[in-house]
Amino acid sequence: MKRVILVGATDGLGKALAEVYAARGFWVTILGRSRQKLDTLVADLRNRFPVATVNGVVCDLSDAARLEPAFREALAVTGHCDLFLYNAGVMHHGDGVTSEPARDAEMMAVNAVAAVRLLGLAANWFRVAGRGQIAGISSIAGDRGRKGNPAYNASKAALTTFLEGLRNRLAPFGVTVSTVKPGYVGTRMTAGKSGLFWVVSAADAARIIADRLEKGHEVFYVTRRWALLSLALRHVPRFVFKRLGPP
Amino acid sequence: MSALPVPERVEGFGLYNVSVSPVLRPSSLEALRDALAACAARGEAPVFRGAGCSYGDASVNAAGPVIEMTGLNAIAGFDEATGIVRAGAGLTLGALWKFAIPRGFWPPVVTGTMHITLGGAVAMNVHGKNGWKKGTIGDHVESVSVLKGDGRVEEIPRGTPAFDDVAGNWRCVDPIVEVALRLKKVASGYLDVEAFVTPNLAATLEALDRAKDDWDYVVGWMDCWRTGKGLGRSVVHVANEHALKEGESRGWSVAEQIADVHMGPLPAPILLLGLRLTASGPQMRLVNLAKYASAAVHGRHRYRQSLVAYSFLLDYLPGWNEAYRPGGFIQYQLFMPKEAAEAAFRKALRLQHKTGVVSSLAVIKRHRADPSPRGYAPDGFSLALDFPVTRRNASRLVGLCRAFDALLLECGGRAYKAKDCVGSVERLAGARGGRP
Repeated sequence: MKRVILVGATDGLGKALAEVYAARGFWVTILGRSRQKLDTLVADLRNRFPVATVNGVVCDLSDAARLEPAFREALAVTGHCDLFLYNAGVMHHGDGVTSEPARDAEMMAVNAVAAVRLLGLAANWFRVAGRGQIAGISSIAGDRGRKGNPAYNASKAALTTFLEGLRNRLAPFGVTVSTVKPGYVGTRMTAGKSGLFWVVSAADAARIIADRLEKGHEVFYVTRRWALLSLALRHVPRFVFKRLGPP
Repeated sequence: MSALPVPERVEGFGLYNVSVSPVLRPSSLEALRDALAACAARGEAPVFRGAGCSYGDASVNAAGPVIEMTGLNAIAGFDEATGIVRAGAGLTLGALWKFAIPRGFWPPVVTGTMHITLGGAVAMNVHGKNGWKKGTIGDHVESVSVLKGDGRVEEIPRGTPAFDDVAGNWRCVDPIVEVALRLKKVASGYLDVEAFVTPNLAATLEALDRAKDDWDYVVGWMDCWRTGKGLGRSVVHVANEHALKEGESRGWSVAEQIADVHMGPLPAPILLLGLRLTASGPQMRLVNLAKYASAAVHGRHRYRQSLVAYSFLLDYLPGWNEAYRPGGFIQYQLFMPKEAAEAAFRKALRLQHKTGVVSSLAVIKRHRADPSPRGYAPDGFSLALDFPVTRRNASRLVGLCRAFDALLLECGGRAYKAKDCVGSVERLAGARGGRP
């Protein structure tokens, strides 16, 4: 009986998640920035999965004043919410050496600041409702700061830690908070990049995420093998990581 | 202009549908006007809530405001000659029968709980076990008074288009504030109840259909777990007004009515604990089996029962719905035209077995056609199915409900907002090209 509000689903993993939930006949409400993209996606999902109830709410995550009205509108069309899933995320590839402050700040704004705002609203609603699940798609990238994209790592680390705090805050109220840490997922974000391995398709990743969220898992990697790699990565000493660390 | 109160948790009766809403609780017309103004000032449309006994989302409002109408519960007048009582929309059936029975009257239509309010009953156009003989409560309402947007109260008599726009209109914008209801005169406060079992679905439907003209109240409890030849076996209870014997009490007092309500020797906390342990599990199969078996062993028998004891089964164990936490439960009530009922219900039962989600409690009733524009009952039967919602069954349950939606569409059946937890009423209306 899941009623899902999905933030950031017009592309990639989010779109695949929307498809998985729609295929299961759930109520899916999608928050997206572009009205046109959103309408296309909602119509497509409604046509392909008539058992589902799919709605779209326009919300530009960089417009702070719009977040609360959008959240309330999403709740109103969903009826109530069993799962609030924050998937929105951007990654800018630089040359791996030069910082680009404006683009770095945008990553922080979408991946972390907007997440804090929206998940905070959701947390308040769920706390009073006394049940339900909040989940954020963070990343294995948040486990360590790497030389290739420090701002992306930082934004995901912020999301991971924020979710951990929420989990501890909401646990007494019967609310589950889950952190999803995908490795490489085959989407536009990773397209054309070299040196990828263990790549999982967006559809498979979405299915795994939906299944594990439904089981109430709190922190998990997609796929599981990334957990091992992460364990190793997190324990590489600083001086070694500095010299030999991955990009 | 006062700000809205701090949001609190508001739940449907099934505890599955939930909202976090500022709740306004006006106790007078003036306060209701203020509450409406406060909502309007925030630009938010309120949902009106009676006692919150609708199973689903009818009385919750996501994050928006809820106006609870239970404070407007005054009885404004009663005419002994006609039996017409004028009362505030927030008056509960419980308060109403306690007022009526000492005077020899009884509400013409009552639901399985006495905690519902009159306003909610009219907005949902509720039915009872006497659905064939008495129809819905709207059939017995002489007039409703609503608070219009401009602040005046308008009384709408029955038989007008405006009346049809209020009775059964759960999304009515103007709140119902007063109801004039024609009560029914009863010679006795007791019923003669006859209980018997029917071994399969065809026999159940036939028994209900045969009993509908001879008996005022007709209801069956179906054991949904049974497969094979016994599919759809039920315990049927039919009842008529008790024929008073010489010198027998008429049972017109509240005390006599309540004296008949007993749940056996175990105290309520023990029963609640037992329910909590069994409600969401396959143990309900045994409960259903036991209910059927004990009725079968007992054979066809008659007994006398007070109106209260017979009518308000949901109130025997107060707080029983809490046993379904944390997931809550949903009810899905399928209304089917009589020609399609047997095949459709057979399919509905098999769908449950196939998905592995079987109703823990199922009630079957006979209904007459409700010709009003917002009527939900065709000439036929309804099967109300209770399902606990758990982490394990949630995905399968939503699939099952969608299959029921398709079944209703295919067979010309209807869904009913007071029981709808999964948006079926809106979906069906959409699929048929209308609005709910």
